[in-house]
Amino acid sequence: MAIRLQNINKCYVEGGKKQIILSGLNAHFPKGKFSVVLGKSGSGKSTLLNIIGGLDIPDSGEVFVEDRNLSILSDYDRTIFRRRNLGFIFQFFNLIPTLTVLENTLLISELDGSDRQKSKKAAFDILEHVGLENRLDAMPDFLSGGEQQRVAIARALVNNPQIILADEPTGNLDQYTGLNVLKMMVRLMRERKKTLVMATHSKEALAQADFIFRIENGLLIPNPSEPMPGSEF
Amino acid sequence: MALRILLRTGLGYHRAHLLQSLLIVIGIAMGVAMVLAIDIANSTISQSFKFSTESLTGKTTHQIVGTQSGFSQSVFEDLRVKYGHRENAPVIEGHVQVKELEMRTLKLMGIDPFSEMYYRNILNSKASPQSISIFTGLLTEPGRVLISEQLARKADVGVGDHLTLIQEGRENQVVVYGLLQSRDKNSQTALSGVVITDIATAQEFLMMGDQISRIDLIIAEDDDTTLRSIEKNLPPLVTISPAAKRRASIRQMSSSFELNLMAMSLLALLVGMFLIYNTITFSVVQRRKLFGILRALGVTQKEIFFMILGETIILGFIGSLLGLGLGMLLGIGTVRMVGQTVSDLYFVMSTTVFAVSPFNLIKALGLGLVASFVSAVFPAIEAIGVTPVEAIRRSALEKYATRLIPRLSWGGLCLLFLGWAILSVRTQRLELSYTGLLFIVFGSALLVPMISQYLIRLCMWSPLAKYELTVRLAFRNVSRSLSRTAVAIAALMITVSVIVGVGIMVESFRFTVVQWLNDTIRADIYLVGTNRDIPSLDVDLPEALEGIPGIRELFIVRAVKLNAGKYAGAVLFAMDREIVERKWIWKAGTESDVYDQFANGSVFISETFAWQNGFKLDRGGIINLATELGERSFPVAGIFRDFSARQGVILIKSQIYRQYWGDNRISGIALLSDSGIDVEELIDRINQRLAKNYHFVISSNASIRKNAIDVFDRTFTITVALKILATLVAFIGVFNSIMSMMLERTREIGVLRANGMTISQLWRMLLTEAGVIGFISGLLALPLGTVLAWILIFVINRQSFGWTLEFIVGPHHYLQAIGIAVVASLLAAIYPSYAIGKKLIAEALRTE
Repeated sequence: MAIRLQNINKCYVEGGKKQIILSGLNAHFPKGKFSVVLGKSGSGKSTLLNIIGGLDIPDSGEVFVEDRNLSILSDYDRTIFRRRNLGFIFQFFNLIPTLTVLENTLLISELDGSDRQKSKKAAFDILEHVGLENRLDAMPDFLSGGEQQRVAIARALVNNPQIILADEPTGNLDQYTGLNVLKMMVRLMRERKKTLVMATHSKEALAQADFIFRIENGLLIPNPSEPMPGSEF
Repeated sequence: MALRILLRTGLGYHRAHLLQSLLIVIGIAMGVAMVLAIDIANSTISQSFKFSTESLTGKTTHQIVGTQSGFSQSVFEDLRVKYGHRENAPVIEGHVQVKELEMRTLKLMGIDPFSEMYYRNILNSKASPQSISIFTGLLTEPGRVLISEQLARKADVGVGDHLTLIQEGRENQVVVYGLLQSRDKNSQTALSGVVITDIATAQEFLMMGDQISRIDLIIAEDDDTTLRSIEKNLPPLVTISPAAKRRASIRQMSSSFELNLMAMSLLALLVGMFLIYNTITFSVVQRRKLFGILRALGVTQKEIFFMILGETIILGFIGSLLGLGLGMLLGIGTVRMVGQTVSDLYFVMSTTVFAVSPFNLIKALGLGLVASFVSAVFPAIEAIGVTPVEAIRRSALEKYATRLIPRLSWGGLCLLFLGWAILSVRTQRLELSYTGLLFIVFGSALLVPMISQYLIRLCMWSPLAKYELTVRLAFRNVSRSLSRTAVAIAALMITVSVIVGVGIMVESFRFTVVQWLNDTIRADIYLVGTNRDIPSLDVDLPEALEGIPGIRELFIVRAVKLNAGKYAGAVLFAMDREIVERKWIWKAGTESDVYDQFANGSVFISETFAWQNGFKLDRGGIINLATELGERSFPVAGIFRDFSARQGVILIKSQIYRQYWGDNRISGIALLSDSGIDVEELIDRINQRLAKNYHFVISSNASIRKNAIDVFDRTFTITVALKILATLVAFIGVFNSIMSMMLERTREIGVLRANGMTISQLWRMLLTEAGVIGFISGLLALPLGTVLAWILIFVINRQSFGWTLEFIVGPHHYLQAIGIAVVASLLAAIYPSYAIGKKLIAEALRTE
């Protein structure tokens, strides 16, 4: 199933004015597939991802992730669910500045109280996959943008979550680095059979996506040139 | 123009961060309020003293005084008749309580109306009826008094009405013969505390016989001949001295007290300054990116510097205005607290005086602005020192801060050394000592980053840090944000060390006083006279007491205050060997040696007396006293600790005293009761048998101790207020710091939450951070607080009063320090943790 959203409404109040971001949005992101969400700036891509990830709460509607209805969970349960089932990759990397590369990667497993030995092994493994095995003790401020994003990818994948949510992951990188990071993400995602939902403007991402959606006027519209999600089932 | 736009930008930031800005305003307001309140109290003491002495002294240039009991009025008569000096006025002064004014204590002043017109404004004031009638009226009938219109209104009496004056337990009815109206405010206030009558009436009411208190004279400045001729003809124990000198010596007693009060209030301002420094530093740090952008756009370093200074001064101005209002309110309470102490220890303070002048207000406002300015200078310098590129990199800031640590540490060590050097100088200049203390405080603050770094490294080795992520994150956050956390730690450390230092000082003082009371007050019951000014008992009283069952032994004490001469103000106690035992600071030989020497004419002097008169505390000396038989030298056989008289005490054997002074009067009687006798019952028995025929105040050992401790506790009530204020400021300071640090990391916290950190884990991390800050602050406050206490006790207190105190430090002081610091920090972290935890994760992530 992966991800299903039903009749999601979300608005923000800014300067006394109500801004409708999502309006009766319905979505289905298939399991094990790479879905891309397109849209203009301010269309609600990040909001959509935040709602899927339980980082934001819709004004109304239901969010099902891996058969769990996130809308009815408490904050604590949502947090635990997110910890164990979701991985986040942000545009601005969002590494913890006071932790090293290794510690950033181990962050979620430590929060979860996982077995330290196992977690470390998994962290070494994923960091090797992203090519940062020699930068374990480096602090985020001394990494390049691409390196930081690779740490973020490692952090998102180390606990083996089923779903990865990526919000403009290459938005802050140059084209070359961005492409490399994107390829790495997609490769890892497919190798590990994860569901990847990415909000992006990247053409390279579009080219590699299984499904493409567009947010327009608060609704998620599948790209007509692409098959409807779920149609293959 | 550029500055105006920049200021608007800066103030816009402060408007957006209202709580932070409010903390700056509150910090300076509290400091200014404290300074103003103490300044008002000190001004009031000054004014009160002026009104109680200077205004009533009028044109007097010199005064003839004797012992505490006064001297014979024949001196006055001889001056006029024998020596032809007519420009003099005899005065009798005492204190009475007025029944119609709820037993308020007023000065009773007996004057010679004919002499008065040369000296004071009193009878030159407008009066009703006319002055001539007042002269004749006062003289023709006894029991007539003049009071001010203000006093008459308060007592609800008019001309012809009666007042009841109580003296030594006796009631005296007087008639209000005239009301005085002063021409100027000073005299008006002075008169509001005085009842004026003629000399004969005053002598009768105060039971002075033919004694007078003093003679006021007017002698031209260059007229040494008259001065010498008067001096030559004065009897023993009666001296002439300039009026100003006499006033000054009384005034000097309370000036140390005032200076210490002022120092305490300046400490409060210093703590407030740290609060501002803290907040401005954070605001600068939070806007580093903005400053980088401004610099990149072409704003000069100077413009950034003045922008930060300008915003701080504006906020400081608002805070100072608030502080003025608060200070006036605080001042009322402070005057009441301090006034009681001054009345207990130095002179009776007028209750009608509340001295607030524009100068007090301007001074406090100025201090507030200067404090704001000084607090903002270093953050402003930091802001201009950043290049546009460095502004972006967080780690660059911390790298810069880390590089600065050795330099700061060396600076701190230098300041500590300077402070120690200043305090080592033997001086009576309190200002110098407080400067040394300030250097010690600042020097310690500069060492905080280095010490904090090492302490946290130590903590990182703990198993808790190794295995618990939230704890490790907390330690790391504190350590890697030293540019911010060190300031918070330093501010909290200073505040808590003030609490510790003052607490140790007060407790040490109290312990020493209690010990002194135990050593000195050994009899079961004490009897003294009822007259505050000339305490004396009936000479038949000892015999009457001997007939009462239950009394094992009694000892007679004569206490005489030396009113003039080299040791003016000191009290001479004549007593017997049995009750003269003291705690020695120095003695000439063994215990029995010194008492033998005492019996043979040596004296014992108090530590304060020794210190004030240049005696070394490790050796004796000679005291020369004017006696009835001429000047006599008395060797000093011992120096003892004493807190009873500000100007010091001299103990002499009763027999020797009577031999040289020919004075058989009694000031007090000490009684030892039979064993097994209930002291209160014995007191009742004595009252029942003797109170009708004799006037005395009788107290048990326990009640005297209690009263003495009550006076002590009242004196230090102001320090309790200061401790409370310091605690409040500590809390506000650390709240501000922690909140700023957490707000700055909102996004980072959002990331942690996005990656699965629960609210409880978040709280654990944030509270651990706060706890670490608190614990380090408290720990560092221990040595600093102890050093502060040491300085207050062994340097400042010694210079102010000449007393040696025990140094009492208990574990409770240290536990209290750490407790206050940790609890303040944890409490301060509650709201920020709650606010951040409540924030939606998505919102947190959007924060720049």
